[in-house]
Amino acid sequence: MKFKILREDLLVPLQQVIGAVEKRQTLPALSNVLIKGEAQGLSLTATDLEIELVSTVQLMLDEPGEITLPAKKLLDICKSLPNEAEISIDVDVDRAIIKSGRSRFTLTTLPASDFPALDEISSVYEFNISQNVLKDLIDKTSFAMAQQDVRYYLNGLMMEVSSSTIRTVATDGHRLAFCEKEMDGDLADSKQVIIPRKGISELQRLLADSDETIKVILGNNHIQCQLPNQRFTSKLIDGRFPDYKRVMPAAEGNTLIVDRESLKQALVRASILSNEKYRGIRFILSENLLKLQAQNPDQEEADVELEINYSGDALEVGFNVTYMLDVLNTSSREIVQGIIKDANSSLLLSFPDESQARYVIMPMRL
Amino acid sequence: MIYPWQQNQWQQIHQQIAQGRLPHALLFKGAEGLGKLDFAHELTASLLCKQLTPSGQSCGTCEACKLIAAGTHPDFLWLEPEEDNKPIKVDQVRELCASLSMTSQFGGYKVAVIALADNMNINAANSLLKTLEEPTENTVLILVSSRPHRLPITIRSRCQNVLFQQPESGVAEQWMTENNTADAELMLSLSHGSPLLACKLAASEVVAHRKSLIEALLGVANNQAVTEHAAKLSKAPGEYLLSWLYDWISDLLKLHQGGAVSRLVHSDYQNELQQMVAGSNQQGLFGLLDEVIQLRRVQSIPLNTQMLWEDLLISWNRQIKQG
Repeated sequence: MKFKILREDLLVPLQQVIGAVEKRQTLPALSNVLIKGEAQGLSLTATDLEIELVSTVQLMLDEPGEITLPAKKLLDICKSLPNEAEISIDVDVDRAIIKSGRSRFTLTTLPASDFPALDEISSVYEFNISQNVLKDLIDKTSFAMAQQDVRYYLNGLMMEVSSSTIRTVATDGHRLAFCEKEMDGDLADSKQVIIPRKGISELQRLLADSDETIKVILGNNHIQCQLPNQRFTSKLIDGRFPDYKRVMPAAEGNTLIVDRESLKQALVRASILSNEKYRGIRFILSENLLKLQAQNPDQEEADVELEINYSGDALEVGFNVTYMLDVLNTSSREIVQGIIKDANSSLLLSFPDESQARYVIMPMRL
Repeated sequence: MIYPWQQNQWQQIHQQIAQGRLPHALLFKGAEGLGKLDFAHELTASLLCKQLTPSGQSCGTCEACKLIAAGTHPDFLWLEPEEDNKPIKVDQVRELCASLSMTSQFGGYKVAVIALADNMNINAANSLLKTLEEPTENTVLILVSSRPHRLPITIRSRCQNVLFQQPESGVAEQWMTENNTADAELMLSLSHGSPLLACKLAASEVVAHRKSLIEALLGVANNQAVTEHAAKLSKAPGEYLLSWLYDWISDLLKLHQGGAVSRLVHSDYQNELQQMVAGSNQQGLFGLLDEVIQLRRVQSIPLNTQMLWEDLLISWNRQIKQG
């Protein structure tokens, strides 16, 4: 393989895929990037066996071919060259020679057949969605994913596509985040996949705040997103997501309406003296008044009062303040609404101006 | 690769595959040097290969086989201690379990091999239990151990055990001769019938030290000074010497109890052994055996080897009074 390329044309795709190259990689082939030169141009592939990123560049090659090169070193070389420099790469049998100006580098290579690149994935369902809608679906829910839970199916984000909607749900067993958007689809029944945590954070990084549409392919073993000049693929979690519908409480009961910002500040204030490990805060609800109470093992106490809009039963219930704050941070809306049946049931939070996202927080015994 | 003495196990497992009854957890156990890891590797390859040969072995040429050879097959996980003689850590096992909870890359089996499984520390073993009991579909976990008794019972009971045994000497010798190993019979005898260990021994230099050991034993029995012999022995690899010393003492005990000459490990020194039997008593030999076992147990601790051998040889001299 032999080609000449502008520094920027190589640097950008390299930086795009480097996220999939793990730092402490024990398999040498995986710390390499697969470079394929074909008639249409150059494609760069990196994988950590869980996610795969492919970036493409339009280019006329002197000689096609495929090879893998050490990703980090190639990136460092590109970075260190001056702007607009022309780089020429010439791959010999087991050495690649990289030249630019008066610099010359020789890198070791590994054959492309050693590299576990994905072929076409078998598609079960494909749909188009705009980038910002998908990003919003993920941003609104991903915080509630479990971390290294033995219930491995919770360590990811569930995406469910049905004929007219797309939903994302995440839960760690104590709280649940749910978001739903409308979508034009033609699927007879719904299709569920669980995307692992790593794939989600990489996807969040890749998606832009634009309404450009991208193609998403759901397979039995993978999810693939085709972005402009980029392709993202992730394995799925091989398990069944719990039935989230049974956890969502009915949207009726004692309803409180609060200003989001003042609730947030009150929570932050009260949380200073909450138990650092369990982060419990007592919510005492009465006519148009919310009292937040926190107590730590040193018997220090915080009492914060807040005026709210509430006309239901007087209630006393405990919640984890971190879970509350996580929810309040997902939106910039002014008003937040909470619905709770009684002191032993979970709290349903939502933002009335934006009905797509709903959050469930389980109460805790204090 | 599948060795001639593993045919039964191979057929048994392939029958299970054909019947769709391959268990999700297998424990390959048996003495060191019987090729259990090679067996596990070949079994994995045959589960992942896309174009199996008619005999059920992997083809070695398809995409999957190439990735396996390069060690980068995404559905093949291999776990072993990060450093030699160190335990398998809990984080390694957790990572393995997380990988196994993902879907497979190529839509087929996902296979995890845990080599030297008994090196898992207790936390690592415990963190494996849940996955070992109920892995996701089409997952196979293969644990390989030559000291299975050191695995917690909770691990052992979750696996189907596959026992590997030393081949009959004819089979092993033939295989070794085909592989151009010199002194096949003696090497096998010194390796307690494990053909791969025998090959390794034949290819290495250490076997020369056996002569020094036996010279020392014979010399000290004739009241030669221990220091010189000990100095020589202290430079040789202790694990082998202790193992040979152990076998030497057991050989004497075998002769004491009327065992057949063909069962001796150091069969090339049977005359010397037989002469020694008269001057020794069983109780003393058992005492020596205990001493050797004790030392083998503390091998990883850096002891002063010169003193260790002086001590052993003095004990030896006390037990053996050669006429």
